[in-house]
Amino acid sequence: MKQDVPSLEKDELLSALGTVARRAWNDELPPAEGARSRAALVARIGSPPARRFRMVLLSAALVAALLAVALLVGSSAPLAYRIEGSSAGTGSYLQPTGRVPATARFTDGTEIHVDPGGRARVVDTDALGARISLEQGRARFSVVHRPKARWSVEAGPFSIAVTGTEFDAEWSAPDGAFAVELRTGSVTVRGPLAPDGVGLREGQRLVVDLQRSRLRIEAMSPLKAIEAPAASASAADAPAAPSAPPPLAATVPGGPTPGAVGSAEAPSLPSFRQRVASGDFDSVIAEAEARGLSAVLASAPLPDIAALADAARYTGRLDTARGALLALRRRFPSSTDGRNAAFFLGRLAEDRGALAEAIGLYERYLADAPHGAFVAEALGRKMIAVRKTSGTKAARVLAGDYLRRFPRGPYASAARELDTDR
Amino acid sequence: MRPPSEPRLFVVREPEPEDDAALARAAAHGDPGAAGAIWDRYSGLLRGVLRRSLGAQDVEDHLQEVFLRFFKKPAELRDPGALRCFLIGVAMRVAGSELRRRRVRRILSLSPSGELHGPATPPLDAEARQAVVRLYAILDRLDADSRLLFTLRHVEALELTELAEVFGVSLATLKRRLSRVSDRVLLAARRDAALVEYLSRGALAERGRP
Repeated sequence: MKQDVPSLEKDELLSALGTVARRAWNDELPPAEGARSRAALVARIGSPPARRFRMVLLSAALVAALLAVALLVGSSAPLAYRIEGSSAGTGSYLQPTGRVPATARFTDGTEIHVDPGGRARVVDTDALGARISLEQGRARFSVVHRPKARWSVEAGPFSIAVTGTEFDAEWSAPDGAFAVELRTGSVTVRGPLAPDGVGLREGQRLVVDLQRSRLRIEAMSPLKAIEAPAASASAADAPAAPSAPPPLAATVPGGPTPGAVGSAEAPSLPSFRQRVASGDFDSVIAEAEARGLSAVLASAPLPDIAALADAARYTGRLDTARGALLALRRRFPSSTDGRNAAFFLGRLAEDRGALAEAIGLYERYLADAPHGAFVAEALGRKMIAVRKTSGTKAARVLAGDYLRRFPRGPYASAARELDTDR
Repeated sequence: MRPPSEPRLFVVREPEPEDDAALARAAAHGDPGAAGAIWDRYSGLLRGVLRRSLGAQDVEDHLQEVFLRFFKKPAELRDPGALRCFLIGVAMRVAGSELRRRRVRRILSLSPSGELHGPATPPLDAEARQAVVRLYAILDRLDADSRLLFTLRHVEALELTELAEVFGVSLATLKRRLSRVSDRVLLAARRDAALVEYLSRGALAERGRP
């Protein structure tokens, strides 16, 4: 290093020091790791304050007893497990040999079977559960429900939060394809297209195509839902075609007959939002259709239309989703949901190849909600769409803007590529 | 036969995601969706603050600590609209505690090397890596508050008014402190010929960019 270089002004030098520090780390956390941190926080804060307070009191009163119990039964010891049928040399890998699945059996009765061609790993265990990484292929999980059980499955950028349940998961990194089929219980899946988490119910299948930015939730046929585990390897090859949704009575236990759905005489029926939060998308759409979509979109309150839009997007009813989003824009333009609707309409337009329309909608969203929750996403999607319609040079301006505003954003890598491709 | 699974409800919709005040109020009321929504909005910013203040080691643990401190007593935030500054302030206190803890460990030689945790540098070229190490060697000589002030202003590019709120001082006081800290860092940096030369080349390249 030589010293005879032009001296820098004070501000220039400070700026250069700042740049050195900013470049010191790649701030993009792997999505799965980010989702895990988020899930950990939500789980730790999950109980309401009053309950937490009671729990503190209870904990204080019972701490000695708990310690004694822990010492007696060793409940704080991590779960142990045994792996069978794996070709991998290390103890934590499940990699089947030949045509026989590899199996992990845990001391609480939980079992994981990895189908031939797949690979999974037990990342770590504690007294409440384990963290499993599905690196490739298909696996079946039978997680025994216990109080406070805490299991998670990571597959690429996705994470599945589990209490006690039976489900299949499949992940293909090269194709960006992810699927979960839930046989019993409930799980919550988080990932790039569902950052807030999507709840799945028994008999539902979630299919994600990352390359096309598509997330779809559909009902499995009753036959498939109770399929024997041994048959599920062939199920992996079956097309993920939507099957007929189960009857409403099956999806809304104790609910009224379809004709009475949504009537004023059915106060106990969960709200649209509650049903979407619990993964019951079909009944939301069925009820809206039973009441008449036009009437619902014209008169239903904002939360119902927003939930209907979500349910329709998640289940691939794109026309219904578009109708609901347009109704949000028209009837509640100054609400958060109304402003967000422009962004989601842009995504729908982009999906059907209407890039100019998508760009316009992203711009509308960015103008209406300059500090909105989807600004980084909207600016990034706009940058991608502009690159496709107007070329790299036009997109480069957006890339620079994106990097200034969201140096750690989801499209930062794409923006850097554009920014440095001079 | 396995016992039936308990249905588990996760909130999937943020309470008014564009409005910090609404998020803060939701947190104060114990809204179950508030934790995820506030995390989504601020975890990236706070992770950056912590990572650049402390290095990469245990940064996720410190990030959890920041959010847990906030959610322990969310009502302490008297102005719900000041959520961002409040969280940065919590992050600053967490980072300050950690820096002081590390300093004590160094003084007492509790860590094997007797050194502060330096930055766990990512794959950079040799010169860039050296520049990072040299910069953090300078920052290591500052007290915790000064180091954090320098980082928040010159690395994270926070506004002066925000910083004044975070540090709980007037704008004039903040400017005086920042000036003193910046001068100290600059003085040390200018004495490091290799660092200055590296920075100068980078700055010249920036000038030359279209």
